[in-house]
Amino acid sequence: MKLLIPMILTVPLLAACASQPPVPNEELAVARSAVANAEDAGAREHAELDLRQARQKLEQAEQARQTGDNQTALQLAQQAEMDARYAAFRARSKRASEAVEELERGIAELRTEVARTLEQSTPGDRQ
Amino acid sequence: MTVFRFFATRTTALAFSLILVACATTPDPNPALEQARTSVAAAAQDSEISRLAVVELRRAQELLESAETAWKQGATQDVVSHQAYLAERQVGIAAESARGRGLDNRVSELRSERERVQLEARAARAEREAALARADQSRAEAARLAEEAQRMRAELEASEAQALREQAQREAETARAERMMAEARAEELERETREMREQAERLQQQVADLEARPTERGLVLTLGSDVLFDVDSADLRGGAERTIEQIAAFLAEYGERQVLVEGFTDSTGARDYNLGLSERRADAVKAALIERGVEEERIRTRGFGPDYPVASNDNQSGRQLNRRVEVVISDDEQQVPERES
Repeated sequence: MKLLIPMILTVPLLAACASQPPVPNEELAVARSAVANAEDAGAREHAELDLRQARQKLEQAEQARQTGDNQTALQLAQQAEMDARYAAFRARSKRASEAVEELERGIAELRTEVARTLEQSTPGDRQ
Repeated sequence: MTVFRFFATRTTALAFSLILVACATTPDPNPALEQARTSVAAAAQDSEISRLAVVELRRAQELLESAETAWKQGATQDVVSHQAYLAERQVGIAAESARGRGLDNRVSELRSERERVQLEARAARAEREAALARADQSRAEAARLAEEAQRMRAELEASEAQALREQAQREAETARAERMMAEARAEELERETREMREQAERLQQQVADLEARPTERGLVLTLGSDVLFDVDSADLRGGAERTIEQIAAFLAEYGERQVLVEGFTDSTGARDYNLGLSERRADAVKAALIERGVEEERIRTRGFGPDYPVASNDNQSGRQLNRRVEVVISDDEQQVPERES
């Protein structure tokens, strides 16, 4: 009786440990969608490594599923999704960073122009 | 009691240990999990991430919890590492998300700033244009003002010269006018003098012609009865006409002078008769003068008969002198004074 309660508690753990998960179709679909989304976000250009990693994992996940290794397929699909999502965010932030740089450069040029223009229109500027 | 409890606990712990060992070898430290812990903790400390990626950070913490649970529950290293990887990736996502949002915000700010600077640039360009225009304008203005100043100086000089000329001209004209006036006055004076002299001469001549003699009462013309009247007659003789005309002409010329006609007789005959006769003779001369245009109101008559004889009545020639008419013409517009008796 004294051993019964711990035994009951331990059963689900043992079951989880031993069980083979179902085919991760949903996770694979989510991963594919995430990869496409990353490509749309410009990850091919701005987060190439992360995108490539996501694709490789997605590919391996597909292969694992085909071999019936659902556990591996699930993990790789989940990782591919996260890699793709990371790639998308990274691409976005890179583009934003570039936009900031461009704006800062443009503003600096404008400021230079303003300064030059003001210099030309100072009262002492008589030919 | 205490011993039993201890034993019981020991027994339970032993049972658990055996079960866990049976499932997953041991909760060995997992490098991926430890990395994930560090990353999540750092992200939670990051102000940007904790501010701009709240949802993503929470998700990372949840994933880390799952990894921790799996690890605690003795999941395989592979499973724990996988869970840790997901958490680690989620931390990366949170960081990139926060960075992206921060940069997006920065982009918005910079766009606003660029608009401001573009406005500044436009204003500066306008300012420069204005300054250049001002410079051009002020140069042109200065040139124009200089030209105008030159022109005004020239005008001023011209007008001063003109004013001097005009003043000289005016002075000359004034002088000429004064001279002309003076000349005119002189001429007038001369003419008046001449006229007065001529008048005086004419009067003298006329007086001489009339054989008039100046007295205190005026000019006295004595018309002898031999010239004018027959004995005991008051009708003017034909020879008297010329003398009467001369007197009338003289009175016409000196219109202001008054006339007193006095008639006289000699001492022969009754005195009353002679008084009447002398009056009739004076009236006859008055009538003759009126007939020749002399105004009636200028002429008065008196008859003195034999009084005031001018010669002796004892002889013919003396009596002839006493039969007479004296015409007294005043020196001015006053009446001729009566004889003092």
